[in-house]
Amino acid sequence: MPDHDIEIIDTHVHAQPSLTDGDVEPDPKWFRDLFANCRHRTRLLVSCDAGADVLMKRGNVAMVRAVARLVRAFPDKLVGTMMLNPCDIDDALEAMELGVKELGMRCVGELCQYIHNYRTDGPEVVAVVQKAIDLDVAVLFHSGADRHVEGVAHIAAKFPRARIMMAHCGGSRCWRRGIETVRRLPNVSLEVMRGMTEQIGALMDTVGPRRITYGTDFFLHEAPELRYERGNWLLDCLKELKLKDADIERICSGNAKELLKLED
Amino acid sequence: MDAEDAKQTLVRLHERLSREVAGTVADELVRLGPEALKLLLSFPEPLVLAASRHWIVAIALRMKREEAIPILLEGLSHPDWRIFQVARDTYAKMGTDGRDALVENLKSCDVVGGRKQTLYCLHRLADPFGPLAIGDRTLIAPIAEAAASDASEEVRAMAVEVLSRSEAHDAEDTIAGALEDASESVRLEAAKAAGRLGLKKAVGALVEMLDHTQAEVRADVIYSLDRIGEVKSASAVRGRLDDEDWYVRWAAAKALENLWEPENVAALKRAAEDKNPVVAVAAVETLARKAPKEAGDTLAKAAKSSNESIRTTARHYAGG
Repeated sequence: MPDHDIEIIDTHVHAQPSLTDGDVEPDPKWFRDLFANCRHRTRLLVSCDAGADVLMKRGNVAMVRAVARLVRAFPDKLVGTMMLNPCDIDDALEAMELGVKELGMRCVGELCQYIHNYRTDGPEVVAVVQKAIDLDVAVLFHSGADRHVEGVAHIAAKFPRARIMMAHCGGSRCWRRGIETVRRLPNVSLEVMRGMTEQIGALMDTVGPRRITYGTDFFLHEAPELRYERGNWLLDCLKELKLKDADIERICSGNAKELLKLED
Repeated sequence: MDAEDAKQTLVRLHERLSREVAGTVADELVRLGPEALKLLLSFPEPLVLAASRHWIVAIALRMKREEAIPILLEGLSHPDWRIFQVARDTYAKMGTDGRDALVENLKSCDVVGGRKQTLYCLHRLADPFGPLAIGDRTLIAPIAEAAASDASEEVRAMAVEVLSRSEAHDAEDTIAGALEDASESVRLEAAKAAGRLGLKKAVGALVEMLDHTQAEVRADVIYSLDRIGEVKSASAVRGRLDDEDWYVRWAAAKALENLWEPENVAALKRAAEDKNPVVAVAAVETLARKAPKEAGDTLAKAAKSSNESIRTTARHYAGG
């Protein structure tokens, strides 16, 4: 399959505050140039930044609205997801209701326990995951340590109807533990962050192509020189692995489309 | 100049540093040997820069192992993360070369922090699914010894955790023993470890911990019993469906799926009326998945609930 026929849906992108603060829409030329080097078609699942000066200051509802405004400006390239601080649970649940029912959001997350200071499988998260099931949207969990992976596995096992994505394949250093911990949980997809041949090979051997997504933690900001080139990394890696076209399609976008209920 | 200014200055200097000069300096430091390494590991401030830390790791790896290792062991005991991280990263790159010295250090180091960092390094070697993917089984015995008899409760608790995160099923007796440790922090770590390893002999001690004053501990203990899956603990877990904390009640309603016995039906039917909808949904779901024939009346009632979560869950399992 030629590269330009392949669509890559990056399931893990954050818009920096410059793109979500204020009412000024980003420059369309900047946005077009962003994809100038892509050998493939591209969509980005985008959330806000989680930091103290953004989500924790402005609140969940305000940030879901801000991300929705950004997505509306570039609807053929961006899909919205709701990064939430579940410690403010009422605001988080209200944001989910608004985001899914009125603003077209397709996912909850990235849920960042290490920033907002809660347990991966704590009571705040339980209520959010139940709401995600009710609203029929996926949940993206940050995972960068053994204890995060363990928490994701706990939630996935207890909510078999939840569609869960585990970011960073469990962690840049502990991805083998990540795979091992969730491999028997069919409702968990594992997000490959870089084009790591060894990691993707291990995932193909253990969980197979139907549970692999591509999410890079790309930070979207309005710098003229910024280019999204991470999709090319993935294509290079998949070629090296000599995967079948059908498996490549699944990893690049097919699985993400199912999880996020996106159309072509 | 504050810390951030200093870091930025270091970054700028590093960017301007000639590779040739950096290489020559590294060659010279390797030639000078252990004293030079000791000096490099004496000043934490410049090591805030990851590139500086990586540079020292590379230098240490070029030195003779027998000369570098004693200095790196000292580094593990340093209170500043910038120093002990360099030592940890060097050990990770050494792989099993550093194993024997680390095992000895776990026994002989007189600094608690040093023994904890040593455990961190040993975990990387012992865990078959860790970053190094080595899975060295010979390390289980010395780590178990630390879990059982180290003078520090912090070290004992960490050793218990490391065992349980290293697939150390051959250390089950140690984990069971840790459930009786004098220190509560060790007992609580052992409770979680017992769940990870599916330790059936821990069930009695875990059931006794269900009365703990902290809700988070009660929920953790329920999850461990859930993971172990011994049905004999079902009765005690059912008792927690009336816990004052909703997260504990939720954990209990979910755990009963793995701890299934007929007596769960009536208890879950009552829990399906819980005032917290997340608990009610959990009870409805467990009942529907484990006893679909007996769940009909509960599902019918739940399908008419004013709460959306309860309603949609009931309809999902009723097939509507």
